[in-house]
Amino acid sequence: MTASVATVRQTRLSQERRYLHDLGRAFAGALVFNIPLLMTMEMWEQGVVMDRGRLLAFILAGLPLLYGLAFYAGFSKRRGLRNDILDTAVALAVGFITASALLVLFGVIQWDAPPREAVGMVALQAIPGAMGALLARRQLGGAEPGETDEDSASYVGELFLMAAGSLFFALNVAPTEEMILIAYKATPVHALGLVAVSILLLHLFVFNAGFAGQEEADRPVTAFCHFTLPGYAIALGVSLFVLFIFGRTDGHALQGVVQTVIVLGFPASIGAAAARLLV
Amino acid sequence: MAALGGVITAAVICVVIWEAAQPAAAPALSVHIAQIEVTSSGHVAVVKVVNQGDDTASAVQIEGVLGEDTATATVDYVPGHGHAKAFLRFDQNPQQATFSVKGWAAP
Repeated sequence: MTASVATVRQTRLSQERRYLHDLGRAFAGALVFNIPLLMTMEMWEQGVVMDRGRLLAFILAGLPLLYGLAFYAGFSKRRGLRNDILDTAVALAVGFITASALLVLFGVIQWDAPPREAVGMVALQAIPGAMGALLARRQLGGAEPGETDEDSASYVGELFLMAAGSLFFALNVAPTEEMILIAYKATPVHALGLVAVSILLLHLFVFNAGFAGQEEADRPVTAFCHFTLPGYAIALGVSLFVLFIFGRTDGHALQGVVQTVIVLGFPASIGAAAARLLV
Repeated sequence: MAALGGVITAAVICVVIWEAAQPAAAPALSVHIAQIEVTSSGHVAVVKVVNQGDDTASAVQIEGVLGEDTATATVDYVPGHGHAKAFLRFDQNPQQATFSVKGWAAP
């Protein structure tokens, strides 16, 4: 009797220790993924000036995405609906804590700052931080190959992972002024060149990073139709969404928007392609 | 999914080709008053800068003159066939002020 109580206690202790270990890795993941954004001036400005409706849209769009990442990767070993939701919530907490602590440490958030400013800046950074936390197990060596659900992802699941990858890459550069500047400098020839390079690289990644199953691997045209074209469309859609969120489409005519979407679509399609490597 | 992806990609390419087919025109900037806001620091004229040209203008300098009172503002970018907003502060109601674009740079 005493022995079994001791065993239960020991098991619980080791579970708790493992959970703390997972949590530590989640913080590390949030740091690794979020530092470039936390140290980008435009992200601070956007946190202050961004239309609150758009900030809300960004957070609301982020929640199902984070849940999806918890489903396919997650920072702890536990699986199941309840645990995936818990993982999502904990990842958000990790994102909020990491963003708040570092923005205060960098002196970006001052103690006398209006709450509206501080909340805007932290909320905007918490979503990418939470993404990093959820990818930590995969990225920081916590998962054995074949252990995460992403290996058995369905076709829709693969497309979801592409969207997550492209959002992640797009988010890292979209707030910067360089995106619109490159679009302004680009002639239509440059834009078409970027489209071609984006699709080509995406296709090469799809082939080599193992998106396409064995069947598609023998048929490049099928893989192109199944993964590359939808993947590029997803990258463009994600780019448009992110540009809208950051107000980069305001005051632009259709061709201006399309040109900026193509420019941001380049890193976004690399992100979509690299989703297999990231997630 | 393949069809949808193909359609979106083709649409994007079509817009760019259509844009390439148009003769490019230099920025053609005009400015007009959109709104007047009364604030504790004076009257603020909200002006809309419109670019009818194809090329984007950067560092666009806007000037508003109301009698002796001159206000200036610089707009980072006014995209081709797009618009941007600027704010000019006056002591008096700027309803009768004249607004003009003084100059700009290529991005």
